[in-house]
Amino acid sequence: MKHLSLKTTLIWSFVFVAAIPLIVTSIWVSRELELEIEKETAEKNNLLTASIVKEVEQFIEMAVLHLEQVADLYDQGMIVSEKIDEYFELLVHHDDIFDSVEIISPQGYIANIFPFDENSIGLDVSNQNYFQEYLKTKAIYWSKISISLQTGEPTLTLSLPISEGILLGHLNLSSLSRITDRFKLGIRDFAQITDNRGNIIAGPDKALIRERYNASYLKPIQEGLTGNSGTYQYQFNETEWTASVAIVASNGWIVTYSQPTEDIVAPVEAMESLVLSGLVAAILTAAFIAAICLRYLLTPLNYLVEESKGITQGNFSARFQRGYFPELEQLANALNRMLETIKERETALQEEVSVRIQAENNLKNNQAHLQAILDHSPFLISIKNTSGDFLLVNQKFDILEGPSPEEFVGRNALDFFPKEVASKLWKNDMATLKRESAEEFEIELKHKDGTWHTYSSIKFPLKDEEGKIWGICTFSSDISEKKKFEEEKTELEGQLNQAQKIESIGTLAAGIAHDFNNILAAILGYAELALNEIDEPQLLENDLKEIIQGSRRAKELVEQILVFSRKNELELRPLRAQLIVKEAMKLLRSSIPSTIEIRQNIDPNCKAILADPSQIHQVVMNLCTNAFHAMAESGGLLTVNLNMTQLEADKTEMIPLKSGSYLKLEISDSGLGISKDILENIFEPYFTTKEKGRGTGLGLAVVYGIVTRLNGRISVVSQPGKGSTFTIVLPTIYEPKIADPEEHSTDLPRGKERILFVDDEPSIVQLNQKVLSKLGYQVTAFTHSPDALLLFQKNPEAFDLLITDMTMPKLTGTELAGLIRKTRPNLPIILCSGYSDNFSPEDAQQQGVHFMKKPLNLKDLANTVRKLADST
Amino acid sequence: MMGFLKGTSSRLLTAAVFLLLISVILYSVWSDFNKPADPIKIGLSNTLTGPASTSGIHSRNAVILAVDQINKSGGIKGRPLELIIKDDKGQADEAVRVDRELINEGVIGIIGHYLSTLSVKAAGIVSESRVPMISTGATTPELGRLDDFFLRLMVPDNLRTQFFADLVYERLKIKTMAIITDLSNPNYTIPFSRHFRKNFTELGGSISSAVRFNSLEKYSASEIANQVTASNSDGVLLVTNAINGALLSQRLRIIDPEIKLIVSPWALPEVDFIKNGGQAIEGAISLVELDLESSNSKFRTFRAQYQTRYNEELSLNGYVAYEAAQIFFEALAKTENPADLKKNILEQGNFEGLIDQITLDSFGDPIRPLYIVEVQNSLIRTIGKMER
Repeated sequence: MKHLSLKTTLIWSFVFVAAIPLIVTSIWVSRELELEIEKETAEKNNLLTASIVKEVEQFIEMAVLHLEQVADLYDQGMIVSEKIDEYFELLVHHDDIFDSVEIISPQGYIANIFPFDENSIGLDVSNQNYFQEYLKTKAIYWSKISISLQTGEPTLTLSLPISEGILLGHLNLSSLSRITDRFKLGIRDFAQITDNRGNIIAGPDKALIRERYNASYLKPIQEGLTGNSGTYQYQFNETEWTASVAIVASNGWIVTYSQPTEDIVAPVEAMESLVLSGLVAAILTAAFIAAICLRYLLTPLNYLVEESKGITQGNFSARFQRGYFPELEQLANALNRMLETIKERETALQEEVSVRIQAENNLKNNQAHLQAILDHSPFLISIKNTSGDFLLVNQKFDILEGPSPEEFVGRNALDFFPKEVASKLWKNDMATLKRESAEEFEIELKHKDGTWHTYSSIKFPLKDEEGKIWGICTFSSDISEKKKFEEEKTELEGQLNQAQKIESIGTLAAGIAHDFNNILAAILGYAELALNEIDEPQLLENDLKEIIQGSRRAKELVEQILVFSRKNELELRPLRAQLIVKEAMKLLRSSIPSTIEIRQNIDPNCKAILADPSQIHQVVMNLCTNAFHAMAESGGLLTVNLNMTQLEADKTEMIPLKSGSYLKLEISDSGLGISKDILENIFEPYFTTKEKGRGTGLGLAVVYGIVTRLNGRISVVSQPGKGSTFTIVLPTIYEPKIADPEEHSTDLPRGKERILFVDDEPSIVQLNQKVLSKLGYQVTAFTHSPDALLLFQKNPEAFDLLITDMTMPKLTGTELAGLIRKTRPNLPIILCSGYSDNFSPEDAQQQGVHFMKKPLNLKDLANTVRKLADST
Repeated sequence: MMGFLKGTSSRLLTAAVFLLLISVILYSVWSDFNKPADPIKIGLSNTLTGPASTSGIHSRNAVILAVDQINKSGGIKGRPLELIIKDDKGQADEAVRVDRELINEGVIGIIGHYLSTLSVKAAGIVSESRVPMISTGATTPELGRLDDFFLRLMVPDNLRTQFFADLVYERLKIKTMAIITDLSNPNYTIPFSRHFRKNFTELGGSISSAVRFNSLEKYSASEIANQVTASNSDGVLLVTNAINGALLSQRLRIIDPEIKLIVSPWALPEVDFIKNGGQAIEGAISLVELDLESSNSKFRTFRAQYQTRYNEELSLNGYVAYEAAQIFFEALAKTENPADLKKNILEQGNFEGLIDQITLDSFGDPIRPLYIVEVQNSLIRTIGKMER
């Protein structure tokens, strides 16, 4: 609402202060005056009507008196018949009261009439009311108005009984009008007389009298007819009249004195006009005085306003000037002081405001950026409150079957998602809220096109400043394609593994053939020699032994090929990679030309990892095959290192690793190296630099897949022309201390038998020699199996039990066992192997040996040794 | 300073003008709200002054009462009626003048006149202006069978005199009649006398003498009486007004107390005829439109209302004037356009009078029964009814 200005308010206040008392006083005075005038008028008019009534009564009395005088004279016989007309003439012409005078005979005939009328003399008037009244009362009678036979005018008849009939006078009503005409004070005022029927008989309008106008419908006449006198108002000829009413007692005639009401109140209206003029003058004077006063008051105030406008536009240098009044001067001083303060604050405020504006702009920009990011994000992003109601979703949600993104807000997933989906979302939300940390979930969501998609969701709780959780933010990405790809990839890798093996076989074929030729040559040669030396048993025996040895070697070679070519289903289990790496290196050594030197540094104390043995084998084979190819033409050095390493968590890598203990496998070659531009692509499937037919392009991809699936990492460092180094790290697992004899040796069965222990792995030899010695046995250990055989053959009875590894260079465990059995067929033998598939317990039983799977469990070893030792 | 004062003055002026405007708007709204609907104007022109004014005054009083009654009941279709009254003074020129005045003042119909002579002049005026007039007394045959704007409720004299002739000749067995004709109202009296003579003589009666006089001039009643009685007629037909009829009756009966008085309805049943007739008018007979002794409630109710308001008895023409007013009201209630009033009245044709049904023919002449009235003991008594 807009307020009035001070100027307007003050002017109107002045005007009202001046006007209201005057108006109230004027109204009150006018009202009092009006009442007083009305009262006075009524009194005055009542006096007038009373006077008229008096005159009318006098007129009637006069008429009666005159008739009575004549009647008396007539009755006393003082008027002779001849003279009667003279008396009648006096009545009619002298007093001007009667139009005519008659004597009616007691029979009702007109006996005499003045002025004389031939037609009237002798007329029978016995039906006239006056005669009927005469017969009844014999008293003075005033007739009702009738039309005069003589004049045709309304006439009143006064009849007076005389000794012989009636003396009758027809009254001239104009006499009454003369009375009323005399009582006329105002121009429009009039006095009027009506008879007791309401017919007008006297008054200013003679036509109404002649027409016998009946005014009984007018209020004053009505009141008069019912006997009420007083002052009344009525409407006639569209004018309001005020009439005083009086009644003529003798005949019920009604005398009224009427005055236009507006004439009565005219003095009051004049007075009101005067007061109104005074009022206007007073208001104008008040306004004039107000204007002068206000000039002195408002001019400085207006100046203050003008200056203030400048201040509002930032001109704080302005200063207010003094006013006419001391109050205004004080105001100006106070305002000037205030200005100083404001100026200082303004400066500070402006700085603060600019900082805030900048902050607001930043905030707006950030909001805009955030909105853009949200809307263009490939993720489904939502924020829900802790009840699961959506507070925000990005436009990406439009892809889902359900409401539009805008309609999500304020609603719960239960409102539009299938129950199982909503329920899962709720569970995930609850899990996130419970753990108060970021969590990852997978969920199936249905798209608008009706297809179901797998989403990977990261949910994290949203907290307020006090750390209280108020909502959950979710980022969900569609991983359907990725999952599908992963599945296809896994399947492909399976196929690739197999293909790789076949490829490896192809690669190895030459070397294997070469070995086989050598073996076969030896077998053939010794066989031929045996034929020639069949007569010399000692020589024959040696030849045959050589043949047998060659054949066994060939058999071992075939077993290794079978191991390699076997298609394994993935079976993760704790294993020691160093054994498998060694096995693989043995196989490789057979197929890689001697121009390539192989160096291996394999730490026998490496911790176990969780993996499939065939996969680890394949990794080594693939990488080494690649290395061999890189050095195939020029030759070089292939180095294989396996040891433990400790890694810190490094999330910057593509595949982040947790901190902890890792197994590190390094395979280096001194070959061609890999150029930088293709270094990034080497792990991609079907990428190859080899000639057509030499490589599938899948080797490194397979390796990469295996390593990442085992939560490991592969990296490569290469210098073109100098060679490449592939480094694989794989997480180790917790391993029970299988080789700590101190802990359990007291509980284990012990013995003092002599045991021959053979394994090409020095660490295992060392370990088991120690363990068995602790249990009281006398252990003789060899890492070179031919040496063990040689010692045994020198003194076959020096041993009670043989424990041998199966896979050993030159003389395998099976061969050794076979040769020893020739000498001592009942010697208990334990065959140990990391591979269980190529030599089952059944096979062992068939050969009469006991089989144990590596790694050797201390308890099992102790029990088995004891059991076999006791069985002999 | 001046500019400042100027601003203040204009502010005061604006305030004053604003207050004035508000007042004017409020007053006009209030006025419109309280303004009564425009009244429907009806005229009455009749003889209100002079020796023949009693019928006119009674007609006026009856119509005033009728208009008051209809206005008290809400007017016609929400509009009040305004009655404008004119005195024709019993003079034809005056009748023409006042009728023109009424038409100029916008009346939609006129009730009047009482005298045939005036009505003959007035008929031309109203037909020319197409304002219907219903006469309360005119019975002259001159106005019969004319498709004009003049309508009437009293039976035309060519018809009425047939009843009169029948009554005199057949019922009263009077074979010789004298006729006294007042020439003050010649358009009424002369045709009335002529038609009676024709009808009476056609029945077999004879007219022994026919005396004419003008009551507006000085005349000798005794001389007229002597002329009539000298003709040895069994009865006399008085075609005069009430007062002159009473006067002549007295003079006739002084000479021949047995002479039968047959009186035109101009005089009988007027109160003045009774008041001024004395014993001489006993047995006087006339034929009139209403049975003044009827026990019909509608008639009695109106008579009581009139007596209450005016404290006097109403004469025949007063009743007829009341019927005329009712016909106007009835027709106005049915028509949206007062200009079609005459057409509406004639189309409707039948109206309920105070006692009997009144049928108006296509010329606006009435068909209604006539009652035989006789003066008995100074009272007017109904002794029979005649109708076709």
